[in-house]
Amino acid sequence: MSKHIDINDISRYVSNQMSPKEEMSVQEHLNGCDECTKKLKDFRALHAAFVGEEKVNSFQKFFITVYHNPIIRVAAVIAIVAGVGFAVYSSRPKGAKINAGTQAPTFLSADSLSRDSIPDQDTMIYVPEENK
Amino acid sequence: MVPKEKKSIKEFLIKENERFSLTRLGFFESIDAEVDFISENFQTKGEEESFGEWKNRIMSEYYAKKDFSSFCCNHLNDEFFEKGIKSLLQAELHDIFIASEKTQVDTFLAPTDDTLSYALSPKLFQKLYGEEFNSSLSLSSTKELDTLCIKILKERFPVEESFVVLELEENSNFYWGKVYSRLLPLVGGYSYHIAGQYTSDFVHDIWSDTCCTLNSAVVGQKLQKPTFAKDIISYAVGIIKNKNRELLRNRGKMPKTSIDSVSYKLTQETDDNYFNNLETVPSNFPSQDEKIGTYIDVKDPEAVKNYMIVVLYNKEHPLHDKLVKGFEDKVTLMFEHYIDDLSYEDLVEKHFGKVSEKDMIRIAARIRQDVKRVKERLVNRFDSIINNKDNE
Repeated sequence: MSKHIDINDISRYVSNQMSPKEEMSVQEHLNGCDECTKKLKDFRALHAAFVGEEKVNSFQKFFITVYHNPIIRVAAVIAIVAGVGFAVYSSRPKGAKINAGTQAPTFLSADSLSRDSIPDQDTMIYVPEENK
Repeated sequence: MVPKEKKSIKEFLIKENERFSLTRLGFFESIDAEVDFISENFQTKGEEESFGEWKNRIMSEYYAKKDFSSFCCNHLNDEFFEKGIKSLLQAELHDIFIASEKTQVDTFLAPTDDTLSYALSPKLFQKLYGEEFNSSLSLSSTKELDTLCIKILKERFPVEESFVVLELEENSNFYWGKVYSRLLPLVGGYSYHIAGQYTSDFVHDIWSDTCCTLNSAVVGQKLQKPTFAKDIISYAVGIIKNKNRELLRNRGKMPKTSIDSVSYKLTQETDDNYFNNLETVPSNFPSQDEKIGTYIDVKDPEAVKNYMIVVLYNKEHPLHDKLVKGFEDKVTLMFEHYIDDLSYEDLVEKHFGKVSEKDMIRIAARIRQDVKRVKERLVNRFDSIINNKDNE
C-alpha cells in the first residue's frame, strides 16, 4: 500500500471489517506514514466518542426512565419490600419453617364443623404459664 | 527494538484488542506494558524478513508465551470474544466472495456488490459457531484462528441455492432485506421505462407493494416447485409490470411504451445491463442518485455511525457540509476535545482566555453540554440524510 489510506478504509479497519491480510497491509503502510497514523488516531478518537459513549448514554437513559416513571417506581418499591421479606424469611431459624409445601392439605369435613368438634372452652382460653 | 518496530507492535496489539476485546477479557491489562514485554523478549525484524513474516513470527511467539490456546478455550462462550470471531469470519467471507465467481442466486437476487450466497446470517453464524468452535480447539495464536476461519468458510460457502430459497420461504428477515434492496433499482428501471415516472414517491409505492406481494407469494409457497432464484426474480418482474400498469390505469394514463417490449435480461450481471434500452440504465434514474443507502447498510446502527464519522471527519465528502451546517463552531469544539485531547477547561482558556474560577466552571459546563448536544444532533441529522427525510 504505497498511496495514503482512504478514510473509508480507515473506517473499515477500525470497525473490524478488514481481513487480517488487509489489516497487515494497512499496518505496513502505517509503519512509515505519519500522516495516516495521525488520521487513524483521529478517527479512533471520534469513533470512541460516538460509539464508545453510547453504552453509557443508553444506561443513563434507562436509569432516567426508571427513576421518572411512577409505575416502575411503585414496582421497584414492591420488589424491594418483597426482596427484604424473602431475605428475612430465608434467614429465620430452621425449626420455625412452615411446611406449606410438604404438609398434606387438610380439608374441613362437615363433621369438623359440628358443635362436637369444637374444643372445650378451657382449651381455648389462654392461661399464662405462671397461673397453671 | 527500534522505535518504528515498537510503534508497529503497538498497532498490532491495538488492532487485536479492538477485535477480540483482549483488555476487557483480561488477556492483558495495558497495551504499553505488552509492547515493552514483546520488545524485551523477542527478536527484532531480520534483514531478510518481510513485514508480514516479522508480524506473524512475533505475534505467534507472543501468543504462545501468553497461552492464547487456554484463553481462547475459556472465552469461547464470552459474547465479546464471539463477536470478535464473528467479525473475523465476516471479513474473511467478504474476501472469499470478492475472489469468487458470481453464483446464480447472487445474479438474480443480490443487490449490486452484495451477496446472499456468501452472507453470514445470524442464524448461520450461530450454527457454525456451535459446531466448529468448542473447547476441543487448540489455537495457539490469532493467526491460527484466522486460518481455521478460512478453512471453515471455504467448506461451507457458497450456500446452496435451495438453502437460500428455503430461508426466504421461512421469511428470514436477513435474506429478504437483501432481496428488497435488489428490487429497488429494478422497480426504478421499469417505472422509468414503462410509466416515464421516476419520482421517489412513485417508485417507492410500487417497490413497497412489490416487496409485500413477492414476500406473500414466496412465504405462502405459491411459486412452482422446486423454486429457484430465477423463478423468484421472474415473479417479481411480473409483479412490477402489473403494478405499473395498475397505477397508470388508476391515473388514466397510457404506458410510455409497450410493457411487453420492456425485457429484463436475467442473464446479465450488472445493473447497467438490466434493461434492453440504454435510456434505462440505473444511473439515469434520478431516484437512485446520491442515495447513500446504496453504500451502507442503513439497518445496522454501527455501520451508519461509522459512515457518519467518515463524513464528519472528511471535509471533502459531498455530505460533509450538509451534515455540519449550522453546527460548525460546535463541531470545532468537539474535534478539539476528542481529537486534540483538550479538556473542557483547556477549551475555555483557548476560546475565552483567562477567566475567573466561577466563570471557568460555568463555561466549561456549557461547552460540555454543547459537545454532548452536537453529537446527538449530528447523529439525528445523518439519520435524516440517509433516509431522505426533510425534517431538518
